[in-house]
Amino acid sequence: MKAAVSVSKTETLELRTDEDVVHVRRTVRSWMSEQSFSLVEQTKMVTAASELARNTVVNGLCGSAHLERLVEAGRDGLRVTFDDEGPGIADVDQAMRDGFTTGDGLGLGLGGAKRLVNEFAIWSELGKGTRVTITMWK
Amino acid sequence: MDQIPILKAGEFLLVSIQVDMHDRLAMRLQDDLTAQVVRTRAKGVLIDISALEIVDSFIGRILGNMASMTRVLGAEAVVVGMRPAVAITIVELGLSLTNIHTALNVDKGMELLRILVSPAVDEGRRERIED
Amino acid sequence: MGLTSETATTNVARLEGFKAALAAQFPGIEIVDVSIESATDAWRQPAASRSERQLVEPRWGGQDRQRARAASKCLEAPRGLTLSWSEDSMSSRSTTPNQRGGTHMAANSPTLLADVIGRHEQSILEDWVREQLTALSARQDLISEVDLRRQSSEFLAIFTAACRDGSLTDITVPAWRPSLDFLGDVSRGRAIQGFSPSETATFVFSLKQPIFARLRQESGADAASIADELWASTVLLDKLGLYTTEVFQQSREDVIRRQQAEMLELSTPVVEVWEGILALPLIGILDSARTQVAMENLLQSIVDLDSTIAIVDITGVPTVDTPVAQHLLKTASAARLMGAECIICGIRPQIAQTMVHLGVEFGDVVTKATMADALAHAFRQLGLTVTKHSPRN
Repeated sequence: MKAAVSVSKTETLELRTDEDVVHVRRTVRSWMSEQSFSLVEQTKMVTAASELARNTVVNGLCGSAHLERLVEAGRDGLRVTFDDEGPGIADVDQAMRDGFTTGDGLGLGLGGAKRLVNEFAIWSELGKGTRVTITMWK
Repeated sequence: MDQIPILKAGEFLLVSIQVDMHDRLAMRLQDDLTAQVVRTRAKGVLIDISALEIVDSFIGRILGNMASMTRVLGAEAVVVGMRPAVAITIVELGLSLTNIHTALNVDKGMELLRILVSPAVDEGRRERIED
Repeated sequence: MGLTSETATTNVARLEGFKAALAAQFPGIEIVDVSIESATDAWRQPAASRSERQLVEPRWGGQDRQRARAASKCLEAPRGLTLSWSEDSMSSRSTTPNQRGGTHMAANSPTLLADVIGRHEQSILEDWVREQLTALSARQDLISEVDLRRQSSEFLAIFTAACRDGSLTDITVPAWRPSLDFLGDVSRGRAIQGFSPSETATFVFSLKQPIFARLRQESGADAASIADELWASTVLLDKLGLYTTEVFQQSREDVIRRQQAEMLELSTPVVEVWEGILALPLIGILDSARTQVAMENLLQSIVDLDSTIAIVDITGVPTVDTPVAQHLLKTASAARLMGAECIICGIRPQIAQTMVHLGVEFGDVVTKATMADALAHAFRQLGLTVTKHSPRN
C-alpha cells in the first residue's frame, strides 16, 4: 500500500517568454536548496525543468509550471508539473526518442529530461495540449 | 537587450559567461562571437563557463556551435571551467560535446590555446593533446 | 500437483468414502480440515505428517486421543491422503475429563509442559545452568555464571508462560512473541560478544535434558503419553533453537555489512600522487550509489586540486558489471568535459574478459593494466620524464 503523499508548499509560474524559463530555473533551484538536495541532484532537476520549460515556451502558446513540495513517509521531494495548451504531441514514444540527435536546434529533450529525474510522467492529446510531471526525491 | 561581453586578449578572444543565459541571449552570443572572430582575425577563442550552473541541451548546443563555427573560421576554441555537476548532467543527458577542446580553468585554457595555435615547434606536445 | 481430473475425482471419492466410514465407526469425531497431497509427497514426507499429527493429538483427552489416532491411521492407509487437524476443534475437546486419576498425566499438553516446569522450576533451572556451563566451559571469558543464571531464569519464566498460553507447535502466535524477543536479544548479544552459532543455540538446546528428566519423572506408568510429550517438547525447543540461530546469522550479516560500508568509506579517498595527478583506488564490491558518490568526489577533487589527470584504480574491485563499468565511463566523459583526463587501471585479466563479453566499449578512455603503467602515461601527458641517476651512497 502506497504511503500518502502530502504537499506542503506550492507555486505556479507562468511560461510565455525566454525569461520565464530562466525564472523557473531559479525558482526550482532555490526550492531545492531550501530542501537541502545535493548539488548534483539540484543541477539535474533544474536542467530537466529547463528543458521542459523551454518546450512549453517554444511549442505551446502559453503554459505554466506548477511546483509542489512533497512529503511521503519521511522523505522529501519536489514535483514540477508543466502544462501547455499547445498542439499536443502526436507520438509520445517517438518524441521521447527524439532529441539532440535530430540535429535541429529545438529537439524535444524529453528523453534526456527523463534520465535526469527520479519520476517522469507525460500526457498529451492532439489539439488539447501536453502535461509533463517530473519528481525528484531526496 | 543585454549582451555578453567578448574581450580581446592579443590574438585571442575571451568570453566569460557570468549570467544564467536565456535562449535569446545565448543565440545573440553565438552571432556576436562569430562576427568578432572574423572582424579581429582572432587565432583562438576561450569560452569560460565556470560560472554556469546549468547547461541544458539548448545551451550545450550553443556552446558546441560556437566551438565548431570558430574552427570553421580557422581559429581554435577551448571551453574552460565546466563544473562537475554540470559535466555529470551533460553526460547523463547524452549531449554530444566530444569535439570541443576543454581545460580546467582560464590559465590552463590559455596554455592549451597557445599550443594549439603555435607552429610546428611544439608539435610533440600538440600531438599528445590531439590524441 | 499434477492431479488429472480423473485422479482428482477418484481421490475425492475416496475421501468422501472414508469420511463416511469414519463417521460411522468413530462417532463424535469431527474432521475440520483435510489437505490432499500428491502420492509422492505423502510418501516422501511421512515423518513430517506423523509428527504434525502427534503434536496435535496429545491435546485430546484420553480416549479421544486414541480414537483420533486410530481414525487418522485408517484414513492415511490409502496412499495420497494426509489429514491435518485444526487446533480449534482440538481445544474444544481438551476439557474432556480424564477417566483415570492419580498420577496419570492429563493429556492437555500446553498446560502439562507449563505445569511440569512450573512445579520444578528451580531444579530445572539449576540443571539447565549446569548443562550450559558444561557446554560453554571454554567460554567463561565471555559470560559470567551470574549473568548466565539470570538470563536462564528470565527465559524460563517467559517460556513457561508461553507454554501455558500458546500452542506448542506454532511459535508465530502472539503468545510466543516475548520468548522470541528475549531469544533474539540473547542471540544478538552473543553474536556481538563473539560466541559461535552453536554456542548460542546451546542456550535453548541444553534446556531439553532437564525438561525431559522432569517429564519422565512425572509420567509414571504412561509410557505412550511420555513419548508424545517428549516429542512435542523437543520439536518446540528445536524450533526455538533454530530461531536463535537465524537471529544470530542475521546479526552477523548486519555486522559484516556495517564493516563493509566502513571499508568502502575508507576506500574512496582521493590521493594526489603528483602535482596535477590524482589517484582513486577503489576497494570492495561497488554498488551503484557508492560508485556514484566516489565518482562525484573524484570530479570535485579534480577542480579543487587543479589536476589534469585522474587515475582510477580498480585492482581492489572483485567484479565489474555493466552498471559499474558505465559509471566509470560516464565519469571519464565528465572529466574530459571539465578538461581533465581519466585513466582506468588495475584491470585484471578476468575483468578484461568480462568487459569484452558485456560489450563495454571504452572508446577513447585510456585503460592500463597497472598503476605503474597509468602513472607512466600520466607523466608523458604532462611532459614529465623520470631519469635515473646512479644511487648516492
